Amino acid sequence: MHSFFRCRVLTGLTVLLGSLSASAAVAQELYSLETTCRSAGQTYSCKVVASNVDDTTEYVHQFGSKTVSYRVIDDPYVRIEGRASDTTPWSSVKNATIDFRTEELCFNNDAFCVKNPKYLADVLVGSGDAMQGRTKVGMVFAANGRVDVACFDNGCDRLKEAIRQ
Amino acid sequence: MTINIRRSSRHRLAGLLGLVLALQPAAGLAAIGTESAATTSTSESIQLAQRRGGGGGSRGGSRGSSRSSSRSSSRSSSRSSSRSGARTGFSNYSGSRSGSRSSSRQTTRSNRQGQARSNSASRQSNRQGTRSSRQGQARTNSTNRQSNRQNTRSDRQSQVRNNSSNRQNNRNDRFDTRQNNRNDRFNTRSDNRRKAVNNWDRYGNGWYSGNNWYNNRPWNSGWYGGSYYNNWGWYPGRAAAWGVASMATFGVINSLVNTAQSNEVSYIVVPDSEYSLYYPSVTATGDTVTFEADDGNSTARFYADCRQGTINGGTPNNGNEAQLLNAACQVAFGQ
Repeated sequence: MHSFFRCRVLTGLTVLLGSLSASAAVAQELYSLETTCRSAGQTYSCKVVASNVDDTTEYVHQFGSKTVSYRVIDDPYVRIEGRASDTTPWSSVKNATIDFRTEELCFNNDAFCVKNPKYLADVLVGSGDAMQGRTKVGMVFAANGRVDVACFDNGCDRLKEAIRQ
Repeated sequence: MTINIRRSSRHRLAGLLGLVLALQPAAGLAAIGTESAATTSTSESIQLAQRRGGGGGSRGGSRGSSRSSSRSSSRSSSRSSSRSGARTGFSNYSGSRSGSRSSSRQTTRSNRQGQARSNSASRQSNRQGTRSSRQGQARTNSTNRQSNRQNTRSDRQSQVRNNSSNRQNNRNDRFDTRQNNRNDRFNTRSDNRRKAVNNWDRYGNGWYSGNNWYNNRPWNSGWYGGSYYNNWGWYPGRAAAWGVASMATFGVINSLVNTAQSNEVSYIVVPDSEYSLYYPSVTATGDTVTFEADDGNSTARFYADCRQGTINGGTPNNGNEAQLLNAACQVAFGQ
């Protein structure tokens, strides 16, 4: 009788844990596209897969033998985290910039760039009038992952110059 | 014997005097004069009536006046002279004038009889003349009436035709007026339709400001054109259903933008569409373009994919949206 009770409790815990782990893995693919990525001065053809995972949107870039991922969280505040492989932990990026002329999205002082017109279009459409006519836009993140500085157009060049100094 | 003669002569004289007094020659003369005057006036009136050739009015008038005037004047003159003849004319005929009175009486009688005959003859002649003139008048009147009827009928017919024509003309005029009013109201409505707000100053200077604006677009451009929208999945079928014959070319859009620029107007009216496009608001990246447009009621921001031919994430719902999509893509990527 006692062992039977223990067995039922273990079964219930197993089912509960199993359901929790399954919900954490829920992902909805938004789009995928073949494009080019640039890393360490080299340009690669790469595949981008965008998916909503829980409350984040993950962008997985596969080029060569590498998989570089970024995820965007907007609640409770905007954060962008990245990881260099599927096994490394997520960490906040230092900065992210968009150049609408070259249609490139770059992270960490152009350490990694990707041509993702979908992403840029979403930025454009989602920003309303704010992004109208802009050629560049950038964000600099603090150590806690929150946005320190936002820049637009020539302001982003001046910001880069200030960062270098 | 002498006495008898004197008595008989006295009797005769008295009888003559009585006769003279009874006959009243002055009254008879007056009656003759009046009769002749009345006859003259009657004949004149008949002649006038004949000359006039008039209708029933002149006929009755001439008859009544001639009869009444001749009868009343002759009767009244004879009666008045019998009452006061001694005082007026008899004293003048006593003595030597008795014979003259008698002769005059005879003459008067003869005159009266002659006058009566002539009166009768003239009345007969007048009656015949009157009858003839009446008949002539009747014929003339009949002819005139016939002619008048025909003329009246002709006039009525032409009047009917004129009225009909006038009614038709009036009907056409009213129709034209209504149509013109309708056009005026339509034009007024079009004029009153909310125009896009010219917020030229809001945008300041940018790639959209100069003449060669299409060379200054900060994104990859110059690829969009007919070869793209003709390949939009929906275009070949639905454009025809919407009555969209063709999309505005880049030349048309460029011309509109140049005109708007020179007038410092921040929008162009999209051809064959109810939308006005704020061309400085056009921003593009990749195949995507965002822009603001006014639909006559309000201004809204749109986004479109110029390679796929979608607006706000779907195919256009009508020709208006299709033309707006094309105009925005021409501004963003056309050349």
